[in-house]
Amino acid sequence: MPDLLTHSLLPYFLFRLQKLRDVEILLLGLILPDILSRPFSYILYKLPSAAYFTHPMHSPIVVLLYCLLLSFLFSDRHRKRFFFLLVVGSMFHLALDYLQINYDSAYFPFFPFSSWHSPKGLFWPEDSLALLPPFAGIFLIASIVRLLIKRRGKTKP
Amino acid sequence: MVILALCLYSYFNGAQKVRTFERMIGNPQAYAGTIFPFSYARVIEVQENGLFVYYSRQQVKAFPTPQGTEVSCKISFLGELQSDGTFRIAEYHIHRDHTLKIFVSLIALIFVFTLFLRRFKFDPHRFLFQERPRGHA
Repeated sequence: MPDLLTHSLLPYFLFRLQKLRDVEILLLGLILPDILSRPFSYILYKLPSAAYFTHPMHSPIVVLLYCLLLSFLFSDRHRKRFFFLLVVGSMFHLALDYLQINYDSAYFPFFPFSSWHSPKGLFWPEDSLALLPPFAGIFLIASIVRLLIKRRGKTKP
Repeated sequence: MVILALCLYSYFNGAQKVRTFERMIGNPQAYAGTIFPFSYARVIEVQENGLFVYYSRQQVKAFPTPQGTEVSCKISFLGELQSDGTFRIAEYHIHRDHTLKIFVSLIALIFVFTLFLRRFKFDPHRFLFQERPRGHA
């Protein structure tokens, strides 16, 4: 996986431009596949067969299922919208993960129907760190510009 | 239950087909020449003619030593099993910034949870996340 900041920053920025409501839920979706699988990967690291339990967490069908389960932790009023946002966020996460290089077959897009795994990717998991400073810079500048525009709007008579 | 069932299906269905690391290392003569992918193996000793990595509860020797390998760093590589149980490294990648990546991920995690908990609180009686009243957020 690329780092969670990369997972969340770019999509967050794109959706922020669209003035999306409930961005907290989208952000949760963006990191959800990792927060549901990584703790188990680290805890069960010494158990070789643990991968059979943790790897499916990065498959679209399983993502749909746990987003559905999670959406039931919100009131009826929000449930459909939050489910949709969680799925959108998680799918963004999976798309980015499927693009990374992996010697091991860690991602199965068609689980449980096929154990076919995504072909050799485009970048190594740590490569995203190199992109973080420019992303963070753009994010910071955009936030400052937004704040200044807001203040100017308030001070106008 | 559905997720558990899917995981079990994967476990029983997948385990039959895969040449597991344990099977290969237990009988290297039978599997000699097989390429095995090592992901995030921890380097425990570096020598001139090879290195020892810890992977899947096993200590394994691989050779030749990739440039820039240090003790305790994480390495991924494609290793060709030799009949003596060692692996010849065909391709490798050293995960230099692995720790930094985890640290950066923790920052994101804290940020997302803070944002989430500013807006929602868990109501154990209804077993639901309720929106906090506006103005107190």
